[in-house]
Amino acid sequence: MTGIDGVSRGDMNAGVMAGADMLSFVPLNVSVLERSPALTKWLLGWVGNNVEFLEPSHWPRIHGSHGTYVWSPPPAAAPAALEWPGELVHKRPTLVHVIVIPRLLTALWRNSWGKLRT
Amino acid sequence: MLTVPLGCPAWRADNLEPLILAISLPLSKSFPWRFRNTPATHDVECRVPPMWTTSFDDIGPALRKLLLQARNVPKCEGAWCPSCYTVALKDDVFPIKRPVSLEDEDAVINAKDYDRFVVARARFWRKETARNRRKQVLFPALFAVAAYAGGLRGEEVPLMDLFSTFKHFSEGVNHPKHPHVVMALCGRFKNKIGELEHLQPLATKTRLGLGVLIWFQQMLSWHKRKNVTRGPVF
Repeated sequence: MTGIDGVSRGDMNAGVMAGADMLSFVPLNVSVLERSPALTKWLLGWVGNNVEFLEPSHWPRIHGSHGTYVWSPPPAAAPAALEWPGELVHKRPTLVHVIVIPRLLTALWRNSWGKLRT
Repeated sequence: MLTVPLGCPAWRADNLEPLILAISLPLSKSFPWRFRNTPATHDVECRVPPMWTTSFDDIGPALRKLLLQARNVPKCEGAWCPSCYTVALKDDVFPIKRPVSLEDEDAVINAKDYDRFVVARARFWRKETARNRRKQVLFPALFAVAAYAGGLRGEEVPLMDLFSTFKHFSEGVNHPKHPHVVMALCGRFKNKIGELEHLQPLATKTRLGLGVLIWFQQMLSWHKRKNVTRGPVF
């Protein structure tokens, strides 16, 4: 628990009240696949065989013309990361992209997301 | 786009916020081009949300079925054009032999290579009389010439529309002051609503000597012989 309500309850020994960094409770820098390993298994169950889970170093790489790519950027990196599939949709229209992001910092990447969808 | 709620097996409740899942499907080769708002995607978007908590195991097959449907539809051509080394390397009429990585699909051919590519095809065209073999020469050469003269990217050239090219071709060629080739592209354009026709004038022959007009004429007569007057050029 974050311990935010520790002041009103008199609990000074938990979470941020004990000195922990507030950002350590908000996983903006962690991708969904790191947060939930079960998700990888579930995605593998339906996306097909020719699938590649992209790491941040793979985002700008030249991708093939066939297959499925799973993009799971951390929310803080989503604005930059979504530019790549946005470009690939036009450059390689035969590809399938699956994008999974937690609903965090949506104000930063929802706009890019909308452009990608159109 | 789907929202995965908290508490399902793939996304546990301790993650504290829902997950957004988006699937970008390939572009189809025929109208309406994309799968968004089609009955198949609409069906998934309506059926899946109640299933997250009641029948999670059935979501995977539903999404898999959608992907299979999308994969089986004829897809739009990608950026595979004579401007890609991989295609040029495989070309039997004029293979470009250079020490480049086959993985580098986006490496472009320079203007001189274009010229050699098209000249080799023109030579082949004159020698070859079989229709099928001529077709193999005509369309890649036209593609290369249109992309080079029009400054287009690989995926823009297939937007060329036959009906409009037929319609405006003669007025461009017979222009009293500046004869030119009219390349009509049909598609969606930035900051414009709906599908539009974009008429792009091209030089009849480039300074390098690429004959733009000749390949357009060959293409039009090719389609005319087959009684095809509308639809995509490629």
